Amino acid sequence: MFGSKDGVNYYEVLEVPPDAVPAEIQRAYQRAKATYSQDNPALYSMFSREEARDLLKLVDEAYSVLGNNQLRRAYDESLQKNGVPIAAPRSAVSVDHQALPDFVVPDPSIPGSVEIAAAHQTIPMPLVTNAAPAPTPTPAVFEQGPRETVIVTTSEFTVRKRETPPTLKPGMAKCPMGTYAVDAAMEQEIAAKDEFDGPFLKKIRTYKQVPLEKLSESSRIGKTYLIALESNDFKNLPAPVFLRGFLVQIARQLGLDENKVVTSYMKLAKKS
Amino acid sequence: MNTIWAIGGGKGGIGKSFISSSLAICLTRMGKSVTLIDLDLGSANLHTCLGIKIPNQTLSDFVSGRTHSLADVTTVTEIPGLNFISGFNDALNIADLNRDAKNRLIHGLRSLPTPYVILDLGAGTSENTLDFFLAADQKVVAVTPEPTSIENAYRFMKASYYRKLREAESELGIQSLIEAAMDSRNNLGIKSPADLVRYIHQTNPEAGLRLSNKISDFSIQLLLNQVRTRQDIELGHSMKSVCKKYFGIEANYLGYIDHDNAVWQSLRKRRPMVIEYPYSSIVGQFLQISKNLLNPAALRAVI
Repeated sequence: MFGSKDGVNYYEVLEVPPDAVPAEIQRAYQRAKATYSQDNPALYSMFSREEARDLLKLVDEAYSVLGNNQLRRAYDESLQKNGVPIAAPRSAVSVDHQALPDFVVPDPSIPGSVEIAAAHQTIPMPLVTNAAPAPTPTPAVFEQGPRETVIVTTSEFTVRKRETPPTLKPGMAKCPMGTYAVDAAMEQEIAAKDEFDGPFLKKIRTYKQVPLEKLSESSRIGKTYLIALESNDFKNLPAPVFLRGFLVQIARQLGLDENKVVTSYMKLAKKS
Repeated sequence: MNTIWAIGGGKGGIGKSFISSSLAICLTRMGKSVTLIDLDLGSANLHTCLGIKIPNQTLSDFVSGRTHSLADVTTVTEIPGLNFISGFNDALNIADLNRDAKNRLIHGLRSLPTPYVILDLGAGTSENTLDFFLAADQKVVAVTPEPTSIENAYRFMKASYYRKLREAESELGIQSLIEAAMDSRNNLGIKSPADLVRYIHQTNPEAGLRLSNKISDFSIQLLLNQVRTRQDIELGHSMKSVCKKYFGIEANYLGYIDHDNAVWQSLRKRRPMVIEYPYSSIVGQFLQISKNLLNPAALRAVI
């Protein structure tokens, strides 16, 4: 059928005119692909499965060339050499044709005219190729540099605060509530501890230099509850379900293992 | 000289009579006068689609020679601008039409007074049906999305294409080539008419050129009827592409008609759809198709 290579014109395979714009080629390809895929009733009694497969292969081959602007240009040139007239792709965008230079027909006898024609053919047009995707321009939003954080405060003012990159002095560490001086012995004790009770939580809080007021503000737990919690005053603590929530909050703010803190403290509260 | 549209399609029951009667009424609505001819000889029922009684004079009077003018068998219908010629009313069949009568009929069609003539062809691929199809200026192939209909539509196209080729071969003297190519087990690598034409072009460029000229007026208008889904609509494009690859001919996808229950309802009332439901979407589609057929250049420009 279309087996012999020399007889095949890729434009005829995709059934597009030689001056088709990339979008037309794309659409023709999708249509041809749907047509010669298996089980299309339109093939029935005309092409056998093998023939349809061959046609599909040919369609893919044609698109791999015509769908790529560089390959298409080279293919057009080879067609021209064989005496097949080829028009330059029409411009798909609605451009003012008066403003465009006419296409220059290359005449090899005039030196330099072929180059001029080639230059004229590089008229900007929308390229829909899958072989050579155009680099997507990076949106301005993703520009690197110091980030500006917008903080909405309750006083109806929007404060733009420049977030300073974390520059930790040696011997300092960070927890969600701020920075603090590292004490190796204390760190070890925290890491080794499995049971967290009130006084120990208070010890960690003071070690990490988090004032009670600040913790109350960020965790939204009342100061009285925090004091009761830190002094193992279980009678003044809320119902277990709320207490569990408080513990999760505190553990997070102090950068501790939530699970360990909650299970051990809840066990303690239950015992009392 | 008038313009002849033929509605064929191979399979029966795909709406050829419905399509031809609807297109005819659409044309009258556009102010053209039309003669609608039932060439489904032997099983003529176009009059039912139009909602009129069987006329007393039919084509059999013309064919048998009882009358010498088609004007005598023409019925002027109640629809302004629409003339109607009924098919055989008796046991005669289209196969019984001899060559002489057929030529007289084709000649008579050309001299009908209306500028447009629409032929409702019967099912099947008998030689007479094919000849009327080939004599038309616009060759419409009706097809529904069922595989049976598609198969028969292709068979009908193949049969009329080969008939056209045979017509050409006797004029061009390339009979032996076509005979060889038609043998499906040929060793020339020819599997389809497109291959055949390409082969003739390679072996005998002059004959190839004349052959191409000869078959260039064989262009098919595909009309998809009873469309229900989006894929059905796409089928027209696929068939167009298959025609191009297989026959090497340009088929036009004329358009599609939706499947609609109103069609059989209007048929049961024996009232033409275009008159019964003039504002339905189907009638809109018919009007568009009539416009496309009236001006083929506009159709090509749209694509």
